Amino acid sequence: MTKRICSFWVIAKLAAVMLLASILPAQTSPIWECTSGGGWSMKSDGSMTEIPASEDTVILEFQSPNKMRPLKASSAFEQKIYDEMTWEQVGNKFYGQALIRDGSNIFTVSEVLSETGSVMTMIFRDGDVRTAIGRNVCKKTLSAVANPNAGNQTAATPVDQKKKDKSFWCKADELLKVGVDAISETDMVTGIRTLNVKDQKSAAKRGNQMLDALVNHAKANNVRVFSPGEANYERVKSISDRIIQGSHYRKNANVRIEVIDFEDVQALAFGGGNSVVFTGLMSVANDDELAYVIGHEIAHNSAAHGEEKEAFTGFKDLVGKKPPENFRTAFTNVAEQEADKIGIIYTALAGFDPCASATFWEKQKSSAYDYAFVRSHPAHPRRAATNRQWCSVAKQYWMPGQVNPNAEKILKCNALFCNVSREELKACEGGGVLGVLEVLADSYVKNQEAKKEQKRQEKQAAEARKVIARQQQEMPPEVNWGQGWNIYKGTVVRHGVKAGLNFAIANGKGQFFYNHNGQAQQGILEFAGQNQSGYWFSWRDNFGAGQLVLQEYTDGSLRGQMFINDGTNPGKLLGDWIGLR
Amino acid sequence: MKLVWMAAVVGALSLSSANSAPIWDCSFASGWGIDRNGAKTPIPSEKDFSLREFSPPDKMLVLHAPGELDKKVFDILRYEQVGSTYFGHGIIKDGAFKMTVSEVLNDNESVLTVIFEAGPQAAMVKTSNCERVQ
Repeated sequence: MTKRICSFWVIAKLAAVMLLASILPAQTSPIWECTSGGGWSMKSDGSMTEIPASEDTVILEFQSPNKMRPLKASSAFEQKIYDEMTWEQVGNKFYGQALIRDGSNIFTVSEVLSETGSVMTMIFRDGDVRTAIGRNVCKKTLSAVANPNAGNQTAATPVDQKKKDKSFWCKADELLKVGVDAISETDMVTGIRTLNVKDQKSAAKRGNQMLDALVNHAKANNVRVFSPGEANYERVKSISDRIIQGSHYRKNANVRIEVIDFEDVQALAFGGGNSVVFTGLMSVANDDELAYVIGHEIAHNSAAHGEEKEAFTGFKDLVGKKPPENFRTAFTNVAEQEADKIGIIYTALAGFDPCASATFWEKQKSSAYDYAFVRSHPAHPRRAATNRQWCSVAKQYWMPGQVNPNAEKILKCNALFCNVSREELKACEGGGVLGVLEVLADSYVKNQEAKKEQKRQEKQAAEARKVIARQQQEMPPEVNWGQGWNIYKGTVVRHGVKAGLNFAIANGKGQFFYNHNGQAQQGILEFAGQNQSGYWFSWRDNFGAGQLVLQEYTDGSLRGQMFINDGTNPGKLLGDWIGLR
Repeated sequence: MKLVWMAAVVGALSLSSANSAPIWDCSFASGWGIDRNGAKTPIPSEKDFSLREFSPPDKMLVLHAPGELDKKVFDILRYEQVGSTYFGHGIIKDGAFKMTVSEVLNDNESVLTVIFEAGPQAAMVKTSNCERVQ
């Protein structure tokens, strides 16, 4: 298979280079990838609200003479805005504006787009929000759009030459079309051509084989696989039947979901409409939550995430840019986020509460350890928060207990995603070139998203490790005390940092242990006297000596301050000493 | 001063042929902006007023404006009427200085936004209290 990918890739690249070189001058069509930088909105009463920056991304392609085509929009609303705006280029800046009529809502939009960013203003005629200003951070690239009519510069007659050009153009475009058809599939969710060497049929076949293998493995190990008529099977079937009706698989009879008696809180997608649900998940999820998880898995199938990752990382390997493990993991994470977004719409359209997508993750435990490494799935709290945001938008499509009768239409374009497919150009009419460009643009965007996710997670992991290191540093060291000691655990400030402390006192003498440089350091205590400040002890460890004053608290704890000898009395203050029984 | 202006303008218009085009008298109410980092910024308040008359199909005749730049802006804006609301838009090129302006003007209020091409200020919003004097 890799040979097949390689040959098509080489053919595609060669053809593209030949074609573009031969038909110069080419037109260039700028593309911007913009991420929301936040802004401010103002209500009718003059009160202001900050619009936070987000990771919502819009990709725009300028289409001469005055339009921007949204290749990717974060919502149907945004898509509509860009569809209606008209643009004027002045120097290297683009000025866009439109008067948008969205039902009874009428508002004006203006945007100035430069190579690195854009500023957008909106003024609403009605409603609570009067006006808003937002910023985007943008990256501009130039995609060369070949002009098949350019390059007529030989002595041949114009008609002959045109014929000759067209013939060459046709051949090259046909070649590209063959290549691009072999290495890409149209995403059934977004309508965009994506890198994917498996058509739906072969994806379904392979997914089915993998699911067969899992089921056989389970049976061979006496793990129960539930059959029709059994309660667990029927519960999943009744939910998944509705989810399928609210999904892109609604017209596809080949959806297969198996239920296996296994303790993992998990469901898995194998591609091509094949998934499995474990009873561990069913025991912790209510029907709405189970619907969301099944919707999420079916979304992986719809968006062909498995096939896409295989093709994408395979290509990177082939072109000598073998992606590091963290990149692969981040790539999966981006797909997980997309599957959540799509799955939430499926959940709502199927008549289940889309906000179960948030409650499910809110119930899961989380700690700093979850963030300490680059993750293939979003961390629970972040996932819950993002899903909470998405589900509040998706609720408009939720008709409790029934499949939304407008599901077909809503799946095409809704507040969370839009299918931007249009009639595809044929080979010889530019279909090959445009197909290649579309795949390249999509791959570029996904590559950037994965890189961004990788960077974000690596930064987060570094911070989480610091938190963990601090927690470990402040954790009292383990000490095996014998009988007869009054034992206390807490923290002490020693060597300028807070450290975990474990100490014990008996008969006016004591010992203490604290963390320093990853090791437990030992010291001794001796009772020295008592005054209104509390009990005074002298202390000594391998690094110095001094005094310690402790008071007994009502909760049984001993708290006070530690001083180190510096010739004064009681010495230089090191910090608080806290010991809890 | 404002009353003199108003009287002169409205008087002149009433003497001329029957003219039913609306005229707005707008005075600055509030405003704010955002800088290139997205932070909210104050903008200078204005004490002067503007008088504008809608000139079909899509222009506003500036009878009075607080300054030359305001006049230029209002001269360039093109409006679309939807019900009793007027939606204006224009790109202003004043030498090297470029900005895009939008305005939504109704019987009692104007909201105007400006996006600046350069300078520390990225964009601003200006609201005015308006009165249709004709």
